[in-house]
Amino acid sequence: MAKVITITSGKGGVGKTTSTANLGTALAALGHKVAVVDADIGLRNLDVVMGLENRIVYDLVDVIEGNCRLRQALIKDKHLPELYLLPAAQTKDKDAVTQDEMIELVDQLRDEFEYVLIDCPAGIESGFKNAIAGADEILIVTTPEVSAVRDADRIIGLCEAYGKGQPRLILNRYRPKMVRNGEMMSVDDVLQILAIDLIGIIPEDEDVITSTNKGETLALDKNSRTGKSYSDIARRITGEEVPVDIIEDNPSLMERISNMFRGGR
Amino acid sequence: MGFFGKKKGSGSVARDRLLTVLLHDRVKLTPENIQNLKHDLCEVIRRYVPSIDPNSIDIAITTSNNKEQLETRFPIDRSGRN
Repeated sequence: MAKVITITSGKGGVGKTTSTANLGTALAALGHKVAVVDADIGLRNLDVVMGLENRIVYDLVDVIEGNCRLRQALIKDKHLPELYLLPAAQTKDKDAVTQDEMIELVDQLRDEFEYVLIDCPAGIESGFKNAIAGADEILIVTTPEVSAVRDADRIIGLCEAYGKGQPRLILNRYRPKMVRNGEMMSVDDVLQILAIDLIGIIPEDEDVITSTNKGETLALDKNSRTGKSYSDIARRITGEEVPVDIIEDNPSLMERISNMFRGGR
Repeated sequence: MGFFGKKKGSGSVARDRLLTVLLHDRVKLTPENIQNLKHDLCEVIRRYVPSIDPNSIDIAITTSNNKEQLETRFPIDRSGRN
């Protein structure tokens, strides 16, 4: 039975799309058949983050309008044979799709895949409602900032109001050194305020920018601490018990030296 | 952080601001209403416990056992003992 998971946040720019791409990749790397769906109609981004923007022929709205079959719109990932992207339409707006149509589409995907990850648009309007309509589980991405946590709190309330149960939290762009110096809210602060379960912590990491520049995801990079954090979350999604550890800000001197010898970054 | 004294970190400033904002979002209490609530509560409590410091009343949303609650603290002015 397929599991449909929507990744949302309320606030924009906190890492929904990056998280969707990385979790999809990590789940597929674990051997699961995965579809990632870009539900941000009119502001398509997931294709670019995954480096698949040049392969798009049909999109989500084409499938819903019957211009093509679902299989024709699914784009195979560059690296993983069991990972597929259903891109959003770029030229339509988010009212092009209804909640019922989204649920129907998601149900079609359930027959083909083990995991369906939906990248939700920012905001709390129709695009958000469409993206969570067919979800079995919701993951909320936030950063340890007042505005992001405030929006996350609003979204948690809405998820519960729509009968979606309690979401789990991905705390993104975490900087342990700043937390130690008292200059950033800690995991415990955020969890205490939001009162939901944590599914993982992603460290602040410049490599996210460089990998996104290239259209690659870090989840496949064995040496990446961010990649490992996403892989751990993927394993937790599958039900495996993986302890949450806080990854330090910067690699130590020894790690940097060993990276040099490996001829890496 | 200064060498001679510990400054309150911006992390706890963020946490306090967030709690105030959420008080408004979750319970629909405006900052003005919070002030009025504090004032009224204080008047009632002081009728019975005169040593309450009216300036140090604290109202916040807290969670315990996954239940949200409005929590009010009335610190007792220790100099008023005896």
